Amino acid sequence: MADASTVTIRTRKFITNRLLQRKQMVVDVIHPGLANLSKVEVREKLSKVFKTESDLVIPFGFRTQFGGGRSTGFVLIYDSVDAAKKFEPKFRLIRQGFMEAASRASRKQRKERKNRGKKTRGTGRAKARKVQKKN
Amino acid sequence: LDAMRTQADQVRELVDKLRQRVEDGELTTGNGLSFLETKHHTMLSYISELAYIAVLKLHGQQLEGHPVVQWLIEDRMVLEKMRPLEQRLRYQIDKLLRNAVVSNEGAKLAATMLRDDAMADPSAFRPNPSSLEVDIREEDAKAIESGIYRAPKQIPVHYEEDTTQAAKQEREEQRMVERASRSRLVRDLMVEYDDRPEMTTASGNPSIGITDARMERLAEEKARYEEDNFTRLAVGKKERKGMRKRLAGLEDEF
Repeated sequence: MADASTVTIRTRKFITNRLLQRKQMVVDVIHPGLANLSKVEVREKLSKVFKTESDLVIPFGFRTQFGGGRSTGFVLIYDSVDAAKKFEPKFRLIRQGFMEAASRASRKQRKERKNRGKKTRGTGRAKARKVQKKN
Repeated sequence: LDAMRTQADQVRELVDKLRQRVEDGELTTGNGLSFLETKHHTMLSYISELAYIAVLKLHGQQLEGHPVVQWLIEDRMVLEKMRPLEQRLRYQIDKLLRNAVVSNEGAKLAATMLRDDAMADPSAFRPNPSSLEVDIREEDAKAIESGIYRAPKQIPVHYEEDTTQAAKQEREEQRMVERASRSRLVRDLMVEYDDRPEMTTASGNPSIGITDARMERLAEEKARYEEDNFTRLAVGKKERKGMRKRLAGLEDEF
């Protein structure tokens, strides 16, 4: 991706949020003639500018303006991984790789199981005993 | 002239009495406010200078260049300057006077009963909120007591004078006309046949085609909200339909 010289990143509305141990800002990426930068690329660039690990830079909400050439998004830079784990919502932690998504059966399977369970009243133990006796 | 003479005699009596009292040492002003003392002395010299001028005039002498006039002007200036200062000292002077007057213990007790802090302890220099006029009307007082908030019934409401069918239809028609005038077709026609320069968006990027002030304002508000709150707003179903309609209209143009 030819991005070295033609892409400019500008930060706006920079606030140091001591309560949440992070810095938050609005980021404008100007990329005339190219598709917009991916989140990973934005992370790398900003971590170089602010001299932090790229783990702690969390970009989100990037939207390209109509006509292309410019996208705006938000970036949070946490002070430490612990702070990030404490304050970030789970889906963003999963995106960054700090957390693993809860693995469970697909939605359809879960719903089918629930509906099957609706057929028996209570904890189906009495029925299981009856079936055992028969056998 | 006789009336003047009787009045002059009365005044002389009063002045003699006062002089006696001052000579007896009854009315000493040494311990009072020096400000008021200066006022006394200036006024006295002012009056005596006026009397002197009256005498001069009676004897037919000229007043031009006489030093008395200068003194008179100076005294007048001093008195004028003292007036605003006196205004500012008025509160303290009143307090002190009240303290001197209300020396009766019974009166002070009565004043405390009536919750009149000013009279009860005149030497208290605290602010006196009870002297602020609070004029609660009866119904408001009752409402406040009952504990439920009842909105005041004096809010102006839109008054529709003519509720007949004809008037309603007319209003409807007017509204339709206004809405039609805001439509894209009419606006394009206006742009075409009007001499005024064409308006576009302030930002450099090409707009969706709507150079509408209202749309621009809404978009700006939305952007500001998003940036301030670090979120992205979800576009509702209606908005999405509106956007698609607008984009479809744009395609028609090309």
